[in-house]
Amino acid sequence: MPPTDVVPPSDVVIGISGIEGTGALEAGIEAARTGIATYLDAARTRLVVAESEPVAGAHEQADAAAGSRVPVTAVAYDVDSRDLLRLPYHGLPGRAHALRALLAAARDSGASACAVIDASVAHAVTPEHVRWLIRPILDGQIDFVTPHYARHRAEGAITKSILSPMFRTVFGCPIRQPAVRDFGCSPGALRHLLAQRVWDEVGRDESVDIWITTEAAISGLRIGEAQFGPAQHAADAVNLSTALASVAGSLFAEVERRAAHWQRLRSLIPVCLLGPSTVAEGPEPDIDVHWLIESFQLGFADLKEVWSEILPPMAVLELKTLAQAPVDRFRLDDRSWARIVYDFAVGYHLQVIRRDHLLGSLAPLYLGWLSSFVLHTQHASAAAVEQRLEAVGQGFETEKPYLISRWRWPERFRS
Amino acid sequence: MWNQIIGIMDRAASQSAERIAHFLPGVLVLIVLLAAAVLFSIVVRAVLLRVLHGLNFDRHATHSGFSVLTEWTPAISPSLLLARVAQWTVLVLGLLMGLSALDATIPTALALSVFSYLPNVLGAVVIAVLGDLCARLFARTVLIHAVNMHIRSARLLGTAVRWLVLILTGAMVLDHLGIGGRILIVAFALLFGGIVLAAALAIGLGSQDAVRRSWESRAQTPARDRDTLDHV
Amino acid sequence: MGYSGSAWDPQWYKDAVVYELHVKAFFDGNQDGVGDFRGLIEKLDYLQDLGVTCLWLLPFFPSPLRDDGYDVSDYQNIHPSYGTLDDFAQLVKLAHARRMQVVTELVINHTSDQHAWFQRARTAPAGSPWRDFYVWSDNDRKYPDARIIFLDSERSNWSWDTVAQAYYWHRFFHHQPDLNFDNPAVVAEVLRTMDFWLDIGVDGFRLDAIPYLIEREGTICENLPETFDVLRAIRRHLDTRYENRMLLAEANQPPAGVRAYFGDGDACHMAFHFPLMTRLFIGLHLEERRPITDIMNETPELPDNCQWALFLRNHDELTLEMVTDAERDYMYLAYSRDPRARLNLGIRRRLAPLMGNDRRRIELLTSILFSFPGTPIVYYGDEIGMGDDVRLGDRDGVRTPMQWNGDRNAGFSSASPESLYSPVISDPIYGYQAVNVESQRHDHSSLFHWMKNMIGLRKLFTVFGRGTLEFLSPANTRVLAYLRRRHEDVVLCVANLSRFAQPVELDLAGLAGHTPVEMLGYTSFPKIGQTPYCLTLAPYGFYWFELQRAAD
Repeated sequence: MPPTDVVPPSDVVIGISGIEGTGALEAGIEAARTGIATYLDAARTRLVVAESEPVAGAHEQADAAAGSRVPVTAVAYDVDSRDLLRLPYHGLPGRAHALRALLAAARDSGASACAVIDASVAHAVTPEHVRWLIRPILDGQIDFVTPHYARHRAEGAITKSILSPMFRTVFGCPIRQPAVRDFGCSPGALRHLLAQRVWDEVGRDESVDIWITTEAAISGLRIGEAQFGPAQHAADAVNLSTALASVAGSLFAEVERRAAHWQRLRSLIPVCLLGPSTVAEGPEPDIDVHWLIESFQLGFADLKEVWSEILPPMAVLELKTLAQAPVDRFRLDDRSWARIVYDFAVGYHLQVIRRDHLLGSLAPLYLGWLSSFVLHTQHASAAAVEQRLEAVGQGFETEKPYLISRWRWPERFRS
Repeated sequence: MWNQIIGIMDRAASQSAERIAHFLPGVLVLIVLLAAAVLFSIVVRAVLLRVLHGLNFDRHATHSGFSVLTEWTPAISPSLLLARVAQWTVLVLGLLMGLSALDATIPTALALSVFSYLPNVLGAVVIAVLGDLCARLFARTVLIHAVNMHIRSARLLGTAVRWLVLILTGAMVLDHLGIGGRILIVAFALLFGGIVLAAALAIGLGSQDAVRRSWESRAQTPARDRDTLDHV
Repeated sequence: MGYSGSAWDPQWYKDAVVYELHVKAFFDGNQDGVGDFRGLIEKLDYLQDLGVTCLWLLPFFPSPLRDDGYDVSDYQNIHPSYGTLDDFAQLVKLAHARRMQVVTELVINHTSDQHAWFQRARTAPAGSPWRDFYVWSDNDRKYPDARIIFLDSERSNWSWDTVAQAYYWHRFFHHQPDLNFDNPAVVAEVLRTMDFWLDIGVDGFRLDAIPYLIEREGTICENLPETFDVLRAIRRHLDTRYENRMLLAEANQPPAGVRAYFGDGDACHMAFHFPLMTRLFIGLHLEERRPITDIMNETPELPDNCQWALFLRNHDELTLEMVTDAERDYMYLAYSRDPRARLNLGIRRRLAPLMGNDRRRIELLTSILFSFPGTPIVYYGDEIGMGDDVRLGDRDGVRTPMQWNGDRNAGFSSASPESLYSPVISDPIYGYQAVNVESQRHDHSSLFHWMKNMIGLRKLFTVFGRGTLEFLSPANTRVLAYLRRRHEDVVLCVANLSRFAQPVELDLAGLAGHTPVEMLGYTSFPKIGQTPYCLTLAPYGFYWFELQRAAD
C-alpha cells in the first residue's frame, strides 16, 4: 500500500512516527493490536504510519503485523532540507513534520481520540499504552495524556534536574517527563495544536516534543500522566553536551516565548495520574561519580570566566566552594541549582553571550548537579529518590520570584 | 642680446604652456572621474543600505555574535559600517583611477603610488578585523567543547587556537601589505611547522609514558561521551 | 467588508504604549540635515527594543512649514524633505511587522494658505462651492466671543485677503485659514483623505484642533453640536470601510467638555486628558495629591470602547489654558521662572528640564503616567531625558534632533552642522555628549533601561489600560495611592509626591488576606490585615504592588 494522504473515518487513530530504520515496529504493532483488542473497538481503530518516503517493506511489515483486524494507513510528509543539516538529540530529522502529518490524519478522520507512539520505543509498547493513552480521552476525562516511564535514578537526569522542575514552576504543570515522544490527545487538543503556526520553524524538530507539552499546559487542556514501566529509548544520537544544549535551548526558547504567561501564573494545574505506579527494573547503570565531579571541576577551572558573564558573583563563589569540596561534602543546594538554571534562562533571553556558547557551558554544571544527586541518593529507596526530586522541584518553585525579578529588571542582573 | 633674451623667454613660455596643455586634460579627467566616483559611491551606499536593511542584517549580525563590531564603532550599526566601507572603497578607487590619468612623470607619481597602496591597507584592515573576530569565536568554541570532552588542557587549546588564528591573520595582513615578502612566508611556515613538530616531539618523546598510560586507560574504560546513560 | 488593520484587537489602543515623534527630528537617512522616513525605518529596531507598540507621527505632509507642518498644503502626499509615499508605505509595513501600529495626524480644522483649495477659494466668486471651502466674511466682527488661541502672535481670528477682497477665519496662525465644515464638499474631501492613508495601512488619526471645526454666531465657536455630527460622520465612514482603526481627538477642554468627543462610543475612540497633565505637575510641585485626585474625580466615565490618552509632555507647549488664573500663575512660578520658556498660555519645555533633571521626579511622574487609567504617550527623547533650547523660536526648542550618541550632530545626521534643520542640544547638562541613546543603552542604570523595563511591566498587566480606578484617602496628602482592578487582578499603586521620605497608612481592610508583591523586584510584602497597612516611601518613591490572594 503506497503512502496516501486520505485517511478513512475512524474513532481512534494510533499514529506511529520514527518508523525509518527501526526494527521494533513489529513488536510495537503487536502490542498495540493486543491493546486495541483488549480495550478498544478494533473495527473503528486505525493505525497510521508516517513516512517521508516509501520505505521498502515498512508498509507491508506494518500490514502483516497488524493483520486484517486493524487497518493501516500511511501518510506522507516532507522533510525540510534545512532540518537534514541538524541532527536533533532524538535522532529523528523531520519529526515535527511527521507528527503534524499524523495529527492531521487523526483530525481528518474525525477520530475521537488519537495517540502517537514513537517507533524507537515500540519494543517497549505494551497493551497498557493503548489503555492509558486512549481510554481516558474516550471517557471524556482528559484532553492530553503524557507518559511517565519508570527510570533508574540517574537516567533522564536532564529531565529531572532542569526540564521537569522548570516546567512545573514556569508553566504550572507538574508532569515529570515533559519532552514527550508518545502522547494521547482529544479532538479539541488536536485542533488546537494543529492551529499553531510554529510547525514550520527551522529547528522545530529539536523542540517539538517540549513545545507540544508546553502548548497543552498553557492552553487550559486537561492533562493526564500515564505511568508505564521502563522504556529504553534509542541511545541519544548526539553526545551529552549537544543533547543538553538542545533540550535546554528548546526549554529556554519556550520560556522566552511565553514570558507574559508564566510571570502571571501562580498555581499548578492539576495533573491526573493514570495507571498504577511503576518502578524501574533491572540493574542500575554504572555511574562513575568521581568522573562526574572531575568534569565539574574541570568546567569550573576552565569556564568560570564564561560563567561569570551569565551568573552573578555569589553564584560563581558558591560553585568555587563546591569545586573545592571533598567528595563526602559535595552537595549542590536545590535553591542554588534553581537560581543557576534561571540565570542561564535569563542569559539566554538577553543573549549575554552567544547562545550556543551559553548552552554549551551548561554541561559541566549539569554534571555537578548529577554528582551531587547521585551522592545524595546513594543507597536510597525509590521513594526517597522521588522525595529528593520533589525537593528539587520545590527549590525551583521557591526561587520563582528570583526568576521573575531577574527577567523584569535585567540591569540588576549582577547584583 | 636683447633679442636673445626675448627668444629665451619666448621659448620658456611656450615650453611652460606646452607642459600645462599636456597636463590639463589629465586634471580634467581626474575631476570628472572623482565626481563620478562620488556620485557612484553615494548610489552604492544607498543601495547597499537598502539591501542590508531588507535582509535584516543588523539583527542577524547581533544574533550571530558580531556585536563586537558595534562595540568598536558604537555610533553606527553593522549595516551602516559596511555601507560606509563600501562607499569609501569606491571613492578611493575613483581617486586612484583619476590619478592614473595624470602623467606619471610629474611629481604626483609619488601620490599615485601611495593611493595605489590604499586598497591593500583597506583589505588588511578588513582581514585583521575578521581575523580577530574569528579568533575570539573559535577560541571560546574550542574551549567549551574541549571542556565538555573532558580534555584537561582545554584552556590551553582555546588559547592556542586563538593565537594560531591571530598568527595566521597577522601573516595574511602582512602578506596583503606586501611587507616581508618571501621571508614572511618562510618564517610563518617555519613557525607553524615548528609548533607542529614540537607538539609531535613532545608527545612522541617527552610524554611517551604519559601518552601510553593515557591510551591504555582509554582502551580499558569506555569513553564517557559514549556512555550508555540516557541523560534526556 | 472593511480592510483589516494590523492589530487583531479592535481595542488595541487600550493596551498600547504610544511613542510620539517628529519624522524630521528622529534620524536623517539621507544625510541632508533633516530627519526622514528612511532614517526612521533604520531606527525601528530601537523603538521595538524600547517596547513601544504604537508610533504617532507628527505632520509630514507637504507644507510651507510655517507651523512645523500643521499648515498642510497637500493632504495626500509626503513632504519631499521626509521622503516619498513609498518610503512611508515601507515604514508602515515594517512597523506592522514589528507589531507596532502607526497613527498619523489629520489636520482638518485648517490648511495652509498655500493649499490648492485656498488658492482656488480666494479667486472663486463669493457663494460658489470652491469659495465655501473656507469661512469668509465682509467684516471682522463676526463671532466676537471666540477666543484667540495664539495670543503671542495673532491679534484677531480674522485676516484680510487682498485677492479675495474679504476676511477669512483662522483660529490659529493667519496663514492657516479654517476649513468650512458646513460645506459637505469639505467633509467629502476629508473622508477621501482618510481613505488614502488608511488604504496604505495607517492604524489611526490624531484629529488636530477638533473643537474648532464649526462656527456659530453668539457662541465661542468651540465644541458646538455640529462638530460632533461631523465626528460621528467620520467615525461611521471609518467603521464601514475599515477594521481596528482609531480616532484620537485633540480637544483641550475640561474633562466634562471632552466627554462629548467620545459620543456614545460612536465618535472618537480616544481623547487627550489635558487637564490631568497640568495637575500632575502642580501636584508634584505642591507635594499634594488633591489637584490630581480632584481632576480625576471630575473626569466622567467613558463608553466601554473609549480610552483617555495620557501624556506628560508633547510637541506643543505645556498648555495652561484650562486651569484657573491662580493655577497658571503657580505653574509659571514653579516651572517657568525664565520668561523665554513661556509661549501663548503655556510653558515650552521638555520633561527633564521641567523636573530640574531630577531622575527621581522623572521616574515618579512616569510611573503615574503608566499606571493611571488611559493609554500613555511618551514624547521622543523623554526616554533618555533630553533637554530643550528656549532660545529657539515658537515650540522648536522641544523639537530638536534626537540624540543618538556623542558624535557630531548627536549621531542624528552626518551632514554638516549648518545644514541641520535645528541645532542639537549641546549644553553641559542636557547636551548630546552627556545625554544620548548609545551611552544609556550601555549603562544598565540609565533612564532608558528604566523606561524600557517599566514599559515591559506595563504591557504585562492589562489592568493598567483597561481596569478601574479607585483612590485611597490616607491622611498624608503627600502620598497618592490608588487601586487598579480588572477581573481577578488588583494592583495597588502608591506614589510619594514629596522630596522627603513619607510614611503612609492605607485602609486596605477590604483586601485583607491579600499579599502585596512589589512588581519590579517581585518581592512579597507583609500580608494585608484588618489594621491600616503601613508603608514608608523614599523621596519621590513609588510602589506598584500586585495584590495576590493565597494560591489555591
